[in-house]
Amino acid sequence: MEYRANFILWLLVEIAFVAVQVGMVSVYFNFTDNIAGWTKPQVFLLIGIFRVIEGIFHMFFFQNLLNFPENISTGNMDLFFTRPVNSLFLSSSRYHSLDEFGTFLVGIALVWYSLIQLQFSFSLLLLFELFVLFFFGLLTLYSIILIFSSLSFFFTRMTALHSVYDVITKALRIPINIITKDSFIGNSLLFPLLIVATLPSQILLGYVTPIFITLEIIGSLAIFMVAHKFFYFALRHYSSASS
Amino acid sequence: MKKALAYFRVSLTDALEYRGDIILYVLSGVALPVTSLLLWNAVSFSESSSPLSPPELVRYYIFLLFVGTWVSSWTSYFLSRDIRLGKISPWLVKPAPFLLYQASNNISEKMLKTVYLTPIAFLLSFIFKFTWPSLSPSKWLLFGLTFILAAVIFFLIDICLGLLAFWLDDSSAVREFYSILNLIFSGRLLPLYTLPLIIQNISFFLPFRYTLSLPLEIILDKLSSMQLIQGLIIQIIFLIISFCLYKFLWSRGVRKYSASGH
Repeated sequence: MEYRANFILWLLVEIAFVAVQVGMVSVYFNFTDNIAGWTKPQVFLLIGIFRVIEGIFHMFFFQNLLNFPENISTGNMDLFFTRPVNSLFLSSSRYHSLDEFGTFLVGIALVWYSLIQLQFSFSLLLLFELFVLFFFGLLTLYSIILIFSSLSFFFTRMTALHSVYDVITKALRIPINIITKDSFIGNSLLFPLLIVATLPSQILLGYVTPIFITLEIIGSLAIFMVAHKFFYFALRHYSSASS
Repeated sequence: MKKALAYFRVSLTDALEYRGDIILYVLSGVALPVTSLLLWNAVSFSESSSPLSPPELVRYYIFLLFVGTWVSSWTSYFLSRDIRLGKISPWLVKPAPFLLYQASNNISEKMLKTVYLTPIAFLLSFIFKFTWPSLSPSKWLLFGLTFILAAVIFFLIDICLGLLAFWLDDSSAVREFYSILNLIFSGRLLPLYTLPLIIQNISFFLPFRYTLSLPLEIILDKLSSMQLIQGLIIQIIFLIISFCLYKFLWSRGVRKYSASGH
């Protein structure tokens, strides 16, 4: 909070970006009352869920994971691996970016607004369900980006890692079944993306049976395990500037 | 001319060395138009008429891939960083203008991106059933002209945003606000025809429409001759304004600039 003006400015920028996305979706709904079976409040719910997940990811992990290429090329990764702390934890959560709080805040507001529009009754059970879905959606997003960041151990230059994140998050802002057309092959291929925000939204909206929460949890943990294994596999290929 | 070609060769060589990065940048540029197209595809138009038919929307976004690639610039980020770190000092003593290097770098990378973009565009054209617009030769010429002007205006404005680093410690928030306005008013997110009338009216007075939407509106063949001429004149005005602004900011900024050794 040393640079309060900067913090507030970035808060406004983040809010503006989400507002633009919400406005964009509203334009589509000027011409239709549903997009692939999703109504306007339902799409807002999906966007809100994604923004909450993205907000938390940006605050605690984004900067660290996207700095992997620079840290590897400068040898700064050594700092994370020579400490008596889990390397993965330290390298992916060392720095925080609290000026991304705006995204999280707007996401929460959007989720709250959508749930009211959809006439959900707020209860402890709903809050618990939301917490579980946010947590595992975040875990999946973190795992996906960790896999791509870990590729930096193999390639000399990966300055376009930000572009990879860009492509992935653009897909996550819309219901994935628009791309997969609910086909088995499509859903299987894009399963990791599906369980970040689309499946949690579908679970909340009752499009799928509550048993799919189990699929969300198992899928998320499986992707995290793959990312975890891949990170340590990639780490074996790391040679710092000093060793 | 020799200096420009030399800079161009250096930039192209540098870009060719890291082809993977360029491909990822191209994919990043494709993501937003493709997402928008998928959404439009999924929209089943209700009884109210849409200002653009499905084939027109496909045409818009496929051409947006190329126009959007050429009307893009990354200079402001690197320029503001270099000013902050004192790294533009070498440019002040070189025999060629700083703008020349930036323009050469910009063009070389865009040429390479176009090469990678073309097969992706062909694939998307096949998937979304793209149909070629039937325009007169004069309209194609006008499209080409407005396309070039759009790219130059956007590039100059981007440079101006980077030059703000002479006065601001951190100009990233200003650049982000510009990006947000650009997304709305340039037609990059949604065609201006689909936006509320008030936004369309505001866009006529801002430079954003003339850095992307105008060439695409020519492709859609929605403009009368008067509107075409009007658009072209306003583009030229914005080109003059942005160039004068660049000259002003650069001359004032360099006077204010100080780095170790200066």
